[in-house]
Amino acid sequence: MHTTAKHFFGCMLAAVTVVAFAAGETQPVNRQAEVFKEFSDRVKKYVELQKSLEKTLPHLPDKTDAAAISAHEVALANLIRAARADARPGDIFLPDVQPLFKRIIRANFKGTSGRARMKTTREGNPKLEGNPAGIQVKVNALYPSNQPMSTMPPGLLLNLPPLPEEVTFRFVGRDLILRDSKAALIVDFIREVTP
Amino acid sequence: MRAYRHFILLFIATLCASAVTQQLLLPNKPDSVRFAVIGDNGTGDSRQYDTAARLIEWRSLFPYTFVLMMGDNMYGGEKPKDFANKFERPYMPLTQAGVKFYASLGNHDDPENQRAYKGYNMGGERFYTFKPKNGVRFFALDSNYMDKAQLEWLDKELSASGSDWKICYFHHPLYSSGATHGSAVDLRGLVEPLFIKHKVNVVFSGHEHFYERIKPQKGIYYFISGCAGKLRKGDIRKTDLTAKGYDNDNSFMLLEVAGDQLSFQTITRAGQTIDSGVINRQNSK
Repeated sequence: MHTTAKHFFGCMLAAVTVVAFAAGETQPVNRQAEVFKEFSDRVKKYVELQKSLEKTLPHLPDKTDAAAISAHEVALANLIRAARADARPGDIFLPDVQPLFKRIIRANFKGTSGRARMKTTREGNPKLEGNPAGIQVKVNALYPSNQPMSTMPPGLLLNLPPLPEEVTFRFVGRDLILRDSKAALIVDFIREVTP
Repeated sequence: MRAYRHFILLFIATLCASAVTQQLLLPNKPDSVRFAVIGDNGTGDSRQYDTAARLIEWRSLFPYTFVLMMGDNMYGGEKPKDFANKFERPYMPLTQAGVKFYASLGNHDDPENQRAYKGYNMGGERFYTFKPKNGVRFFALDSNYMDKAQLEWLDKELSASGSDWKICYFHHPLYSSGATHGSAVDLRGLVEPLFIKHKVNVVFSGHEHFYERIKPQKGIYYFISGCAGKLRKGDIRKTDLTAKGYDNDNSFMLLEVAGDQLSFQTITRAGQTIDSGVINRQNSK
């Protein structure tokens, strides 16, 4: 009897602990999802703008020459810059979302596999393998075509919010940028996200 | 008289050497799938042009119909003049003869510039698949940005392929003895299970500026051919991975799939054969 009672109270205590822990965990997870949703909504809105501006340009076929591709990219970049002339850092990487990105990235760069991921981001990183002075991390700045692009560790990408094809995450030095892959523009950035 | 004899001997030796270096070791069977592999080629310098000249030369012996590109197709700028200097000019005799190039993307390549470029036959995509003949299918991946969408696509396409030969190629090698880069371990953790699940036969990569044939890993054959322009001399470390390695000169590969066999020959910028062999299809009946 004594043992049964002890067992019962033990189970109750364990259940309460689990519930309390779960409640404590649920709230930040929900908050994180909310913040990432806001980020994803901003990205979606940006891509909608990009698409609507691209529609005003002559259609770029899937198979074309280098001059047509280059002209299309420059024209689209000019349209986006004009439409987002008042864009500011943090418009898309909102202040609330920035610490989340930093936390995820830093957690992904810990341990043995983390070191391998960190090494991956250095490959093609324009501040390390390109011409460091040749690229400026600014909203609406051009990502020059003569600069390499950092390889994104696939394990990290799976932990970040998914992006539509029109934009990608890249590292420039220690900064994380959101790059418009059609117009080669820096859409937004977070400073010093890597350890 | 002595000098004359010396000259004759030297002349004969040169002829013999040339005959040896030009020896085709591939079966060259009718109806086979014949192709070449180049990687990290887009420098626009003399090494790229010399290697391209050899690639062109060998086509008279081995009429390959397409070329796989392992990425870093364009170092430095990607303006129209760069496409001309780093691709159109060096390979013009091939493109004019109807040889198709199928590019994958490296970390020096701008996906948007290159996927729509007509010379690279990417169909407007970062990653894509094509089948030159029934039974043989190629999968070009973008290893710089292996996101969830691409992984799902790869799983679906490999599963639906039904081809006897499934050949994947992309920039970063899953296994490498390179001192500069080494194996792409993070990438390997995600794509290798798919390769095993869907019985991929052969994988080609670049990124490392040398040639390396890796000992089969979990039943899959891996090749690195990342020196058709760039070269990193002496970069191959001594590891248990290497079946054959060469880092003294630029090179390219010629390959042939005929039935259940894939034959390969690796040739340097100087025309010397540094590796060759035959792979029997792993899952053949």
